[in-house]
Amino acid sequence: MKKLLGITLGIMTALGGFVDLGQIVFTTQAGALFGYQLLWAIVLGTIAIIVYMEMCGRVAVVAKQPVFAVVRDRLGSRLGLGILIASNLLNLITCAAEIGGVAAILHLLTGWPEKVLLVAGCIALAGIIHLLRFQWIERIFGLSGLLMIVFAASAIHLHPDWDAIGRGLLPVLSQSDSRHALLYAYFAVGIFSAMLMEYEVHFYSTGAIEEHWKAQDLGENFMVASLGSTLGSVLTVALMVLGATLLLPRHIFPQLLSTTIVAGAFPFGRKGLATALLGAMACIGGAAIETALSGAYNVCQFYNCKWGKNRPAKDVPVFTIGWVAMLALALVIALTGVRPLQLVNVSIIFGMVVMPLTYYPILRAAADKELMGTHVNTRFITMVGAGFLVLITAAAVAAIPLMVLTNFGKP
Amino acid sequence: MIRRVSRKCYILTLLVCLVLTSCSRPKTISRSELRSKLLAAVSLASESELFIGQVLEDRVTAAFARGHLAYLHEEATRGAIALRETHAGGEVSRALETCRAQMAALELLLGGLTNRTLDKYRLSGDKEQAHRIRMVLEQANAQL
Repeated sequence: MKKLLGITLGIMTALGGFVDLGQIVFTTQAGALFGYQLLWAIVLGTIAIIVYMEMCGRVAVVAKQPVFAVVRDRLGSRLGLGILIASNLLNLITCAAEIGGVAAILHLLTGWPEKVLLVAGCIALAGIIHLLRFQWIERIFGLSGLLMIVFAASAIHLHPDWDAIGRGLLPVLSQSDSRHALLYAYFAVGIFSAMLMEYEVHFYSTGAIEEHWKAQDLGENFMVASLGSTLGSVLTVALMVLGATLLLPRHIFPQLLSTTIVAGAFPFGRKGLATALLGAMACIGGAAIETALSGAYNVCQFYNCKWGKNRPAKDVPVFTIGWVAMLALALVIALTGVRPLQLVNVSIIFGMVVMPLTYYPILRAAADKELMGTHVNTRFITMVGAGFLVLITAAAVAAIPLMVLTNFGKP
Repeated sequence: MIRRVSRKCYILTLLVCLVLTSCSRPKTISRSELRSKLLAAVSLASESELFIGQVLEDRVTAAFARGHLAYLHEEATRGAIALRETHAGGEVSRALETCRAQMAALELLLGGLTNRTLDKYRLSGDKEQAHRIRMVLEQANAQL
């Protein structure tokens, strides 16, 4: 019974924490431009994240190695250092975007000045990280993120075209002009990237060690990775449906987080609006914490420094300074006035570029019989993982040219 | 050596001046760029119309209404400034003028809205105006 409760909690936490600012806005934009035609990218991204998240968790449990230690061991110190710098820069940009998103939501809730809320929100997040244990941070934000279900309820309430949704499972372009095709490719890459953001697997694998998972917890690892991600992707589909049903017919291309909130609460009035705001704040706040902690974890794991959220701060000084510095720097970036969605665009596209160098070591480690023993990848999983790695690499090569040619996806 | 340094400084200064003067010239817009700007303007007008409707039906809180309208106003201001710094030739110039005028009108409309979210009578008129702006922009886009 306790085990079942633990698994259910893990799945719900993964579901609630699945989306972040990038996914919320990118997917709604994709729906507003292409209707359901990019649904296949969400399905592909979901399968990819399930495969790799499960591998990360398994490597962390069996080899007792989190992702960045694997990256360093498999790719060598020099390349590993390059990936560390790139990943942490991306974490920093994403963190700045997410705390900007939190401040925007607090402003929409209270009407108080946004810059004051940026500082206050950042201090609150720092306080939460400092005071709460790892499991409680995950649970509070993950379970509060379940309020995002209001987006799914709104999507259903707006009577989407289910036949068109079914057709969206296959990649088909409705218009042949080159601009349309480039935008379609850009958003396909963006959705794929947003679902596979590195900090998510870094955080997940570290979480497995923080929570002292053992070999007998590998079943839970599989359930959380698969069911949590599948249910989370249902939310992502709902965001696309909202874009397609509410925004596309009105020729609205959402450039603001608040636009997606309006869409998420459209049929339900003020109560729906409050629910959508709180749900989005939980997801985005959770992502801010994850990226700040990921930055600190990455550095400590790469350099073999002591780390651990559940250890006293003074026992893990590099780790503590690491996440505080991440939050502080992210706050400085956010205070310059740069719009969160601009930062998110940059982090999603450049995240895609770095992605093959994160996922390749994970695949190699999970397929290493010497390292993993009886828990090594089956041949099928290795082939599926390799197939996705090829796709990830192709998307990584295409990401920056598409960003330039489409001017960051402007229709 | 001093002559070499002076020559390098001279070339660097010339390059900087060239870059700065090229930046300060009004940007000439192509047809596809103008279409992109028209679509952005249509999107903003349409969203304004939709959201004013939400405010009229009392489906949003006052804090949210003021906040979201302020964000929309910022977007309109950014768009209006970018259009003022843009130049077009030939048949594209009329569409650019239309886009400029309508974006300026939208900026003015949204600027006034944040202070009268509770005035339902005036909001009805504002919604109509957003609708008219959108129709003019859509027509300009169709004719481009």
